[in-house]
Amino acid sequence: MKPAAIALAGSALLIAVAIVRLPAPAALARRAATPFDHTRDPGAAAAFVLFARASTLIPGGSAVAIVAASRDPRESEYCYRLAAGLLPSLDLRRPLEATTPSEGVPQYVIVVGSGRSEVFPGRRLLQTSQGAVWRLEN
Amino acid sequence: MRAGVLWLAAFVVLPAVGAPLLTHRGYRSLPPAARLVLSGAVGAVLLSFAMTVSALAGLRWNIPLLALAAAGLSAVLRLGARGDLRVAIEPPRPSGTSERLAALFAGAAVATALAWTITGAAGSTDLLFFWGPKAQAFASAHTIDAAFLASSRASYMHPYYPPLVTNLWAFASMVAGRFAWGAATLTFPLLLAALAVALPALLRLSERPVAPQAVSALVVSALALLGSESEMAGNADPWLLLFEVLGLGLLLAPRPSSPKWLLLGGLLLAGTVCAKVEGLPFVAAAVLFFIALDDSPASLARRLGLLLGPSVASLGAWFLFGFSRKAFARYGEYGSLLELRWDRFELVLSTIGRSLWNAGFALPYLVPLAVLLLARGGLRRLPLAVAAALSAFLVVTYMLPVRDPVSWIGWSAARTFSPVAALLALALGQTRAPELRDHLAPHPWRSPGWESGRLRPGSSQEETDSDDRHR
Repeated sequence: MKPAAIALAGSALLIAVAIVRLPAPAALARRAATPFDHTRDPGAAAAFVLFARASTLIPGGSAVAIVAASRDPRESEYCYRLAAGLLPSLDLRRPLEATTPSEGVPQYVIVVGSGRSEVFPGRRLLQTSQGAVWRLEN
Repeated sequence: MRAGVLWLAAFVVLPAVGAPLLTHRGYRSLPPAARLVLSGAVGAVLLSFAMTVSALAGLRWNIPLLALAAAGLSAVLRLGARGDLRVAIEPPRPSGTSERLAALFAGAAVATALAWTITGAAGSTDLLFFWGPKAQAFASAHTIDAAFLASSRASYMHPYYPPLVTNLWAFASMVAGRFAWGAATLTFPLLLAALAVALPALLRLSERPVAPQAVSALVVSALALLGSESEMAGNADPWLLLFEVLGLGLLLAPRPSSPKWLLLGGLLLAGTVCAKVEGLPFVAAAVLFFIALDDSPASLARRLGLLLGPSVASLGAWFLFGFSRKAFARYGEYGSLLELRWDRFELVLSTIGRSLWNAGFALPYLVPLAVLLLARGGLRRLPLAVAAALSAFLVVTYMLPVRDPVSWIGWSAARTFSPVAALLALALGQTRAPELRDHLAPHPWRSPGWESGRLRPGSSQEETDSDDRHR
C-alpha cells in the first residue's frame, strides 16, 4: 500500500471517530445556548447562562458575592472564577470576602447551582435551574 | 451575533499586516492561498509585538496605528532580508484521486471541528477562566493592563502567560466593542482551516515529499479530533499548533538556510513562543535539532539570529513589560526543576496515558504513529527528534511539586502533547530514493539534474541542495 493511501485511511478513521463522538443529532439541529453546552464541565454552561441573565439585572459597579449552592469552598471559588470573566463590570466578591468589613457588605448575591434553596435577607430577582440572584437589604 | 462577526472580521487585518513581507518575490513560489495564511500568521506575530511594545512604551492602543506600525515592521523586514531567494516548490501534481480525497478529508475534518464547536462540545473553560477575562481587561484598558495582571484577584489567571493570544483577542474586542465568547471558540476551526490551506504547500517545499496533501490531511484530522475531544476551542492551543506545525513544516524545506526562509521560520517560531508557555521548549528543540541536522555552509550565528531573533525580541518585550511593571518576572508557577518529584514518575506516566486515552481513545496519537510504521517510507528525523524532546520535557514538567498532579495532568496533558500528534504525521513524508525516481517520472518539467537530486526546478546550476538529506 502506498503511503498516501495509508495516510488517507488514517485520516478517514480519525474523521469517522470525530463524527461518531459528536453530540446527539438533536443537539446538532438546535443552536447551542452557550459554547460549553456539551463539554465535560456542565457547570460552565449553567454558569454562563446564569451570569448572562444576572448581568441584565444587576447595575454595573454593584458589589456582588458569588456563592455555590453547595457552599463548598472549592465550588464557590470555581464559580467566582467563572464570574470574573463573564461579569467584568461588577465588583465581585468571593464568599468569604463578602463578610470582611473592609470590603463592605455586598449588594447582591448570585447563588450558582440548584442545591438547597437558601433565603437571603432581601428580594429574589431571579430563580432558575442554574441558580438565583438576590438583591440584599443593606 | 453582530459583535461576534465583527470580532472575527477583525482578524482580516492580519494578512494585510503580513503582506508587505510575504509579497516579496522570494515567496512567490508558494501558492497564493498558502501565502495568505502565512501572511496572516506573520501579521499575528507582528501585531502582537506592536501591541506589547506599545504597552511597554506606555502608549494607549489605537487600532489603526497598531495595524500601521505592524505593517511597517513587516515592510522593514522585507527590506532587511536581501537577496533573490527563489526556492522552487514542487508544483502540485495534476489532481489525482489521492489529492482530491485528501482535500476532501481535510475539509471534512475542519467541518467536524466546526460542528463540535458550534454545538458547544469543544469549548474550553480556560476561555472563561483567563484567556477571555485578560483579553477583555486589556481591551477595556486599551493596553496590557499591568494593574489587572498584578492584582491578587487575577493571580490565578497566569499573569506571565505570553501575550500573543490575549493581545490579538483584545484587538478584536476593541474592533467589535466587546469580547465575543462564542466567536473566540470559532478560532479553533478557523485556525485549523488555515493550517489545512497552508500546510500542503509547505510540505511540497520539502525534499522528496511524499503525498503532501495526504500527510496534511492526516495532521488536520488528528488535530480536529484531538482539539475537539480535549476541548481546545477558545483556548490558545489552536494558535500554538498553527505556528508550531507551519514553523516546523518550513524547517523541513530543503533550502531553509536562505535568509528569507529562515526569517519566515523565525517569525513562525516567535508566534509559537508567544502563544503559550510550552511553545518555548518546542522552539528550543526545533532550533537545536534543525541546526544539528543542517549542514548548510551559512554561518551558525546568522542562522540562529534569523531563527531566534524574532522570538527573543517578542518574548523579551513581554518580560521587560512584566518586570518593569512588577506584574511578573519569570515562568515558574508550578515549582522549581530542583524540586522534581521523581517518586511520581509512574503516576505521571499512567495519568498522561489516561489523559491521552480520554481524548478520542488516544487515536490522534496512535493513528499517525501507525501510519508512520505501516507506510515504511523514509522518516524525517527533525519532527521525530522534536516530538521526543517535547514529550520528555512535558513528562519532567509534570513531575514538578504541584499539590494535585492527577488533576493537572488530567485537564492539560491531551492538549500539551497535541503537537506530538502532528509531529508524528509530519515525520512521514519523505520518499526513499527508489520511490523518488518513480515519483518524479511523470513530471514533464524534470531535468536530468533535478532527477539526480542536485537541482531544483527553476533554480540555477549553482543552487544545489547540499543541505537536508534526511531532515
